Amino acid sequence: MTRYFSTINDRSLAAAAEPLLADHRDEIYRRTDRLFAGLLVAQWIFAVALALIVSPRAWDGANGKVHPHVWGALYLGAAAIVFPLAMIKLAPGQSITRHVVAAAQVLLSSLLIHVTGGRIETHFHVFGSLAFLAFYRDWRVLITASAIVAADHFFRGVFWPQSVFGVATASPYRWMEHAGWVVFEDVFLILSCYRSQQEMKSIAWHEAGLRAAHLRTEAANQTKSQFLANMSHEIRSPMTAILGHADMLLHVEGSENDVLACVQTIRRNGDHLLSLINDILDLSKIEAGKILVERIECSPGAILCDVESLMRVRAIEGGLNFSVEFATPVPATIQSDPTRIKQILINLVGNAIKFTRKGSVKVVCRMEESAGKPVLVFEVLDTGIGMSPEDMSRLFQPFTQADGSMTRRFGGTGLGLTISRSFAEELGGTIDVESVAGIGSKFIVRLDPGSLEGVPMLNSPLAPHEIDEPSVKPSSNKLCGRVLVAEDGEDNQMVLKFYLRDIGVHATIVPNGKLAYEKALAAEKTDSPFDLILMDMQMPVMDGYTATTMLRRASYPRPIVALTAHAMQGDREKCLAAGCDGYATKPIVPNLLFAELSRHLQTCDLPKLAERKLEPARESAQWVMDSPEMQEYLVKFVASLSERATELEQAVTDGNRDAVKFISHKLAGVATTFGYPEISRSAAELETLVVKGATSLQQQADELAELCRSVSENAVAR
Amino acid sequence: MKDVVMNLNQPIFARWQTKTAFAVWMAALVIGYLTLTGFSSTPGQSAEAIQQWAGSSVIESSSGKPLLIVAIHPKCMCSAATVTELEQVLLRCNGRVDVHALVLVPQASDESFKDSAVISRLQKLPSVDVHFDIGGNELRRLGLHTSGNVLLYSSTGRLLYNGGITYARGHEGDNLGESQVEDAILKGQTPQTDRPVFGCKL
Repeated sequence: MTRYFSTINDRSLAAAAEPLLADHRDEIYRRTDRLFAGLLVAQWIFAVALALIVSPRAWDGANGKVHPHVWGALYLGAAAIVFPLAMIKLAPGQSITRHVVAAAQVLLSSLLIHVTGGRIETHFHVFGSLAFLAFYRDWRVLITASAIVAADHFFRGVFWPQSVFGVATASPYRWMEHAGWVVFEDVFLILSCYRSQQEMKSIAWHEAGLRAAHLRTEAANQTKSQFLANMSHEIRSPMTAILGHADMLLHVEGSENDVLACVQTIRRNGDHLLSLINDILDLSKIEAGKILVERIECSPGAILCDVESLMRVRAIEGGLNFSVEFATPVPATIQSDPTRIKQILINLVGNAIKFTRKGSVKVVCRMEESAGKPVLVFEVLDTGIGMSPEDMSRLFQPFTQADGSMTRRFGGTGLGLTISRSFAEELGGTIDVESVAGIGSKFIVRLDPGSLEGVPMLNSPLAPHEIDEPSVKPSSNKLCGRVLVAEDGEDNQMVLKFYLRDIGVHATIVPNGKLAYEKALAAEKTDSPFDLILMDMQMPVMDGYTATTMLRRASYPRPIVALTAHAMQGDREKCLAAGCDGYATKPIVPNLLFAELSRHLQTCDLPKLAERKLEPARESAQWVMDSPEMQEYLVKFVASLSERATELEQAVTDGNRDAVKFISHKLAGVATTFGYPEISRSAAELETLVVKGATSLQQQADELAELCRSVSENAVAR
Repeated sequence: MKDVVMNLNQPIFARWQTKTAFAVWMAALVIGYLTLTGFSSTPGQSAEAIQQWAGSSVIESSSGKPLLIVAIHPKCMCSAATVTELEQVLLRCNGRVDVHALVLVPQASDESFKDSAVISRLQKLPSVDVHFDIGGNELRRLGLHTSGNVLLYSSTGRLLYNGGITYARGHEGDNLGESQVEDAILKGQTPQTDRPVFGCKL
């Protein structure tokens, strides 16, 4: 029992258990009061009856009269019980009532002993009385009763020893012996009371726990209902817009501008819907306790660089200054989950940009100590609209934004902060917020960096560059230069060539690392070297890692940007370790690729690409759809899907894992670019299975093949 | 007027009415117990006993042993306590004393005076002669006024003890009178003073 209480350290539960315990005690006190009300009256009647039996009459010769003991029993019995009965009636359950009852009970013992002529057997009534009083489960009551017994023995022992000890020559301390036997019984009764109280406490704790669980369940149900109501609203709103505008496109003949407006509305709402679904999937994983958090070595500086490269374009588009800095030296590496940290920071920076009309958004990284342990801190500061304390109190609740109206005004699902906070907590940290309405907000993410023993400290992010003034204005600049693209997949070769040309860069394509190595070094010896190499990291003949390493060994001085479909943990670090200067992922996201390239190439004028603000898959697809040249290639791609499905199935049947990997890798890299992200995802999963050495590929391969055929057949049908 | 209004917001024991009731209760109990105790410890009239046994009685002593006479009211509950204590005396002084119980049977009384529980117990005791004293003449002649009064004469007829062998009305238990009787029988010791008698009037 002691262990039980010592292990429970929940103050709120204790606070909830206390009134339950008090109620339970009160119920016991009142119930025992009622028991004694009956018992006292019964004992009074019993005393009178006993007097009538033992000494009905007193005699004077032949004349008898009612014995004084009968009157004594009547009077004293009534006197003894009248006050406690009144107290039970007027103040049931109160402490004073219990003590008065205890006094009356032992006085009745005394009366019974008297009317039986001091029979030793009647003395057992005292012990019975104490046992009855223990029903109260209040040891203090036993003390009162025992004190009266001891006092009675003491005074009788002094003034009339025979009446209590049976001898006239009793020792003056004989009363202590009698009282000692009473105390002997008290010890066990008090122990019993104590244990009973402990059990009552235990029951109260359990009941409080059950009630709390019940309340939580009710609250969870309410939240679920609220969630469903919100979901319904959040999903229906964009869906209504999509369907409505799709209908408009079908039935209404409008100008090209009207059609464009409809398509843009559909696209915007589709984006929102997709973002909502992604957030909900994250949230449901969090609520199901299925968040998987890694503890791997990662670089805070690299994470910040990634966040910066992802978010800077948005900040610039919003006309905001955006900077990333270290306020104190920060460890080169920590033990944490870079993906989750990135997700948190992207969310916070995204919010900061969203709610800031002018001024700046800044991410500051620093180290601090808490309870002697290092804490990694990221602060996201903005000069935006800020929040009131009331707004802040609702901030981390799902589907809420600081102001209910903000969802409509600023968009977003209202789930980002809930998800971010869960991630932060999973990473052994917290997210706090400080804000002043109209001035700005500061979100502070504190994370456990793990062991930092022997880890060097850095004074700035891995690839620091502040952008106080927007140095790249995508709406009015293009990039210039010659880029060597090492990419084996025909599909991606086409896409990259087209894209690079679109932003003003001349691309030379080679299909493997070996040729890239040779061509780059050869160009170095001419007057027109390449300004940058865009290096796919997985290629036949020689992969990108080897090629990059060899180029660096050969003192190749120009930037190399890694391009890989593997957005896996540590992939960036691996590329950088090989000698790359930057990192871009496949499927190609024009915005991000442009942002990465713009770090290494000079800017020119008027790219139209950076005007795009689309979700990656849609952006790529839209971009492809915008180009007649690419549309032609899209038709070829779709037409080839059926054949690729057959090849894939054959490879699986033959157990040719290399072929499976090759086909899935190609599909994963390019399908999203043509607007088929589901094929990309399925292919990526299949490729991962091959890489991880999974024994059964059949199911995933079948799914991918079916998807490919489905797309192909639909295209033929149209 | 204000003082007599009960303040319901006060704890009940803080109210003057409760305190007064408590005091009255305690007083009533103390008075009751003192009265009852007073009654129990009030002795009856002691015997004006003959100092030297003359033998002119319904009770005869010819064994050469001390003679113990106990006055009994057959319906007095105090007599029951006396019989209990007499049993203790006889246990310790077995065969060393002649015991005679002189039982009051009032004139014109019913048979219940000869057939009480006390008489029945007395008759079961060995070496106790039970004498029914019709009208109480012999009791009066021996100067006995209270049930439970014990007279102890030595084998030579000298009065050794006059008093009760209980410590209160109807209360059993060891007591000084009982001890003195035993000492007188066993050791021939004579107490300095008479002991009080607790019992009904004969």
